[in-house]
Amino acid sequence: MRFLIQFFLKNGIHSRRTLWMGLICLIPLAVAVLLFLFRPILSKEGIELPELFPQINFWLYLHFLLPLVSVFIGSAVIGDEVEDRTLPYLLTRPLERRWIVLSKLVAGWMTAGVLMFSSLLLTYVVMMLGGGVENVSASFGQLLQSGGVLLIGLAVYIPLFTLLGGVVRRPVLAGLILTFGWENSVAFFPGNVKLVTVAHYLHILSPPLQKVDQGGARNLFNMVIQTTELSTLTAVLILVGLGAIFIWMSSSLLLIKEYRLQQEA
Amino acid sequence: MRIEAMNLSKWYGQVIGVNNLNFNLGPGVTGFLGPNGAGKTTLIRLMTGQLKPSKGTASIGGEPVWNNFRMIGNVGYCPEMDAFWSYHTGYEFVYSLMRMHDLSHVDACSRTEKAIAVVGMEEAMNKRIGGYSKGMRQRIKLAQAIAHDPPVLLLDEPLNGMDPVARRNTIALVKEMGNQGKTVIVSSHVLHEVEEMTDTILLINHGRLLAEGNIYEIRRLIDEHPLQVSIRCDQVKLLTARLMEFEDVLSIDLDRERNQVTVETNNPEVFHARLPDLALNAGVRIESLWSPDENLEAVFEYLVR
Repeated sequence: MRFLIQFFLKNGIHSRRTLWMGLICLIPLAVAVLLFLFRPILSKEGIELPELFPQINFWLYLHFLLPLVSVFIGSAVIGDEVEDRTLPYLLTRPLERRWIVLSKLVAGWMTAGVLMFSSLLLTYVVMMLGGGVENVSASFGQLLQSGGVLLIGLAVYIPLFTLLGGVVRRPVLAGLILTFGWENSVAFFPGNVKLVTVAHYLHILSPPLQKVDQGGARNLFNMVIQTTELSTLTAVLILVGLGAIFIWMSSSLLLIKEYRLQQEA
Repeated sequence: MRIEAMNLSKWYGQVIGVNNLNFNLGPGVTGFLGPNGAGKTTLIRLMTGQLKPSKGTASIGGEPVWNNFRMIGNVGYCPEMDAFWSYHTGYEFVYSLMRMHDLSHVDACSRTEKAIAVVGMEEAMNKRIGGYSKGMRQRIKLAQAIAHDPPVLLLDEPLNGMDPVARRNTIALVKEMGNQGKTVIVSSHVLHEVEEMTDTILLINHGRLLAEGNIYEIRRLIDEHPLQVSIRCDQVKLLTARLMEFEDVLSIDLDRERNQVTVETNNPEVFHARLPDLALNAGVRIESLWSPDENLEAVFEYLVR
């Protein structure tokens, strides 16, 4: 399995998809740089740059990059081999089919994790430097917490979209609808319906947003998305459980599903 | 190691890919022959465990191949499709696939080098496959199929795009593999290619097995099919006159310039048995005798008609 992971990692690094994902991951960094440049104006409004980091993390990483990168990486786990018609080389080796998918999932998770964490780290540094060098180390725990949530999110979403890729014809479109149509909206609904989103459990684990405004509408919003009777441990367990189910189901795809690469001759 | 299909069928909704095939093939080279869309690739993908049979079983060495990853290690497969991880060099491509056979780095290197030498790709092995010609890509695909020295080889249109020298070498290689006792299946829609590699064939069309066996056995199976026989002799006019007396001779084409007559007979065995006496009695000296349509092309065209 180690060789397979290395093989798929190398393949992933050379893919155009990874290049695009890398460029998209620069978007939050670009936003951070812009904020850094306009920090005197923000200061006049009473907003300090380090305080905005949880907002950037929440909106641009958790609700934009995480689902987007997961959709593209997850749908490519089997999709790339089918599209490039290289799947027969893998299926005609003495490899357990489950291990093929698992290795690709691990490679995809590592690639996405490196891209997103690197971007998050750079964004963090820029944002914290906006409040002074001392801030960089002071809020380091926040960075690790945000990074950890992203890695857990990737571990749940990537196999979910791999699974989706095995059952729908247009997995990217279906994935985008699921993330931006369901996850990113239902997770903000009051009541219990948000319990059927992955995003809700990631909210519980994320750093709180209330630093920007301790009262008023933002605080109310924060209460809606994060107030829950579930503990952090429960959220972690649910995410681990969901990840395990999605991994098991997606790694079973090659055992039960056949892929037609072109018109059979 | 034997390859067997028992009541093997594969359909995609309403479309039949392979229909109730039965065969049992042993060591040596066997050709899967049929036009494009006949079901050859579907059959090979079934035999390599890439597709699940809709009905029946595809087995190698007595074991079903679908989801049988251990058995698949005994198979070398050269796909028809021109597909690669294109940033790989030829060497990396073969090496990576060898590592997937649980070979150590050293073993994988040695087998890769050996296979690449067999297909004559040593000079280009460190170049990217993306820059290879079609013929080179075919050869590197063949290298990955033979590198782990499998007892069973399934080669789907292996000669596609090869230059004449590579083609000749590949044909020799396939024959050698067959002579070594490997079970080699070669699919092709180009009949003379298969004919050069083997005289044992399976004729497939519309997913059905039309005929199986030696080309001459197949010829016997279709004895109602008229056979053409060409004869070159010193007295072509006299021979033509005598041949016209026989009931089994359907038509005669006389070529005086070449001293040659081409006869169409609906009973080849009787015709061949009678010809020596006829020539002897008439005092005709036969220089050569051959059948212009006793090749796969003729059999194939007749059977798929």
